[in-house]
Amino acid sequence: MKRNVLLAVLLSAISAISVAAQAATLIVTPDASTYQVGEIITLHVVGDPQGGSARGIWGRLLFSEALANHWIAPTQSTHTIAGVGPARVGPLDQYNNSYSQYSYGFSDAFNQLFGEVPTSVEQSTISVIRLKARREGTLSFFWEEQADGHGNQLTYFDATPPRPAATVTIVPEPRAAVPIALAFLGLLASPRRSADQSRTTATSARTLPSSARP
Amino acid sequence: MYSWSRTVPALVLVMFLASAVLAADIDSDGIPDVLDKCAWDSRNATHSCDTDSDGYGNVCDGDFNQSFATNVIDQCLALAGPGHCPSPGAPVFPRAPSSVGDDMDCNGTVDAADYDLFLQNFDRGGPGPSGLACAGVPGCQ
Repeated sequence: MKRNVLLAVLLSAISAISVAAQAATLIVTPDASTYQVGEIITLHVVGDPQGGSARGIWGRLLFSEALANHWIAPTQSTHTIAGVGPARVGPLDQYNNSYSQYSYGFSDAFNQLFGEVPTSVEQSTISVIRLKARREGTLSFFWEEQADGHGNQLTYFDATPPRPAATVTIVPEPRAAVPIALAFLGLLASPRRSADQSRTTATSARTLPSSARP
Repeated sequence: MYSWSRTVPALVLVMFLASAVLAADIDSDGIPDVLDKCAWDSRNATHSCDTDSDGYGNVCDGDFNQSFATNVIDQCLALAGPGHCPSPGAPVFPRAPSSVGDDMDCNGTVDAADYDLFLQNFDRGGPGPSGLACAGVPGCQ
């Protein structure tokens, strides 16, 4: 009896693991973890449907427009549907000023229709997004979801990617770092100088004759 | 001394430019661009409805969920209408139009012809363009 229960638990665990292994994956990989201001950030988006089926895919990465802006138009690989041909490929959009309802930057990663009924595709999805680092800070990328308030939702089979999908760090470029360092040193020195000045003023006030004091 | 000889030609030029802007009609559908809800698509001259009142005519508005993108989410609404998404099963054609504007040719029925128009919009990527300054805002007429 005890052995049967153990066997049942083991079998259910194995089946759960095999179901989890079939879930689609969507991974965003930057080409570096740290960038200098002005450098190009290249994101590689690789999705694996794991045999799943869908009528199409759509994904938009959101990021802080203050820290980075789009540089080159994103690209996507085109899926092939068995017995049909290439998927219908829609344009990939990027943030621009006509999207006043967005308070952050975005870049679409994939936008394709497979058919009127769910269809399986075998190949992986590969997209490349290039952005230019604008300002130092921690830059995170999120897949747009309904909760973000624009009615859009990441649609990539049954994938549930992590939030954020990726994070990189932007540091000042070396040339910009020199004046910043000098300014910092100046700030460090200034209280000492003003303290010296006030001490000198106090001393001279003390040496003035009482009739000359205000 | 005020010089009318300079003011009058300037006024004529301004009036000429203003009338040229107001009369511009890129898609030659008889609707001036500033009033045209599908400025690059002449079909809205005959199919002139704007069911979701967002300033984009149905014929050039495949963005049924007002997200400023025409994508697989809108495809579901095009195939089956609200209430069946995100798992619509088979396409539901013909059917009665819904409030999202899925009757893209404004003929009172949603069918395969409307889905073809949706696919053309998908290829373009987003709704419009519209000549109305308020396009994209609910209630833009």
